[in-house]
Amino acid sequence: MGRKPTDGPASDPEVLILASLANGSKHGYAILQDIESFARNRLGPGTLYTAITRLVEKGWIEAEAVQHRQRPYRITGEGARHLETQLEKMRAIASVGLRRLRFS
Amino acid sequence: MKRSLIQILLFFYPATWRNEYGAELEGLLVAEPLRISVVLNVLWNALREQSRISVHRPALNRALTIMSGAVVTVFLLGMLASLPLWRQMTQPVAEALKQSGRAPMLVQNKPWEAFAVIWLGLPALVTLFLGYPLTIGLIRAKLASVSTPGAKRRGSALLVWSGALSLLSAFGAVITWRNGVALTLHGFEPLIRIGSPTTVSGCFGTFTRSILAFGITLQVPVLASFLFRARKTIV
Repeated sequence: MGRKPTDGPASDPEVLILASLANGSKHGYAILQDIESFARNRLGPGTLYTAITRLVEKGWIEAEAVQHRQRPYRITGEGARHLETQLEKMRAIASVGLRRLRFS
Repeated sequence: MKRSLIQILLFFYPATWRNEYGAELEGLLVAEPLRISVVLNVLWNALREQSRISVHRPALNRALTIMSGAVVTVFLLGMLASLPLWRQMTQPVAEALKQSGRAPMLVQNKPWEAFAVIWLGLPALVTLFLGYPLTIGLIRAKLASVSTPGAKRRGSALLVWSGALSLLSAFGAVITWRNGVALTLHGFEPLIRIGSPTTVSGCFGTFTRSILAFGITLQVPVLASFLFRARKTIV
């Protein structure tokens, strides 16, 4: 299903997958578990592979050789740059929002 | 059981996508409890993939534009043909009414009844039965660009049969109607025995039900063949 508004701004499946792959390659199930642990967000299997398809098409991640019927994915240089840009944007929004909350 | 259900779910994805990611998604679904939310998530994303495959999107947009144009054109042609069609449709009913000793004319319950039937209902019916084979033709053209040769051949054969049978069913319904017979839930019944089409909408409704009954009945073998092939593909 689509992303729920209550999931928050950091719930974009593409960003979550890129963040998960930022510290090394992982296969689908490992990505799901990793995202659940660091973002407390459980992606549906369909959502995961739709996002993976898009990320591969954009060249932000790439598949490695199949291991035991599972194919790990790794982030590319372009993907890492995109992730960094997105996270910087989020940090800028978060810092402005927090500052305004504290001084209002 | 779970494996079969997973195979059915994967069947909803485009073949090209399934070849690339199907085995991985299958592995993931086997490892997960198959809750209803997971099933809905997979179905929803299969639909998104079907509509999204970027390389085919221009072709799909073009097909949709052509299809909309064709539907409007056929509807307008249906409007042109609706008066003669209406005369043909009412003739057997008038005959049946005469035989049953009633006045051979249809009455209107509401002032706009005849207008709605002649200028909207009949063109819509013509559009449905002529538009269906047209749509089939477009789907066939789309199949040509996305399927493997074997699947394309089988899909094409089914679509051609389906389109031809829809035209045949319309033809069959018109012929039987002109002979004073309609296909109902109880089988073929003479119009005189149905008794109801004494109003404009009653006459149109009886004819529509008859032509749809013909259409659905003749599509049963195509549907059965499709389901049989689909089952063979996924088992």
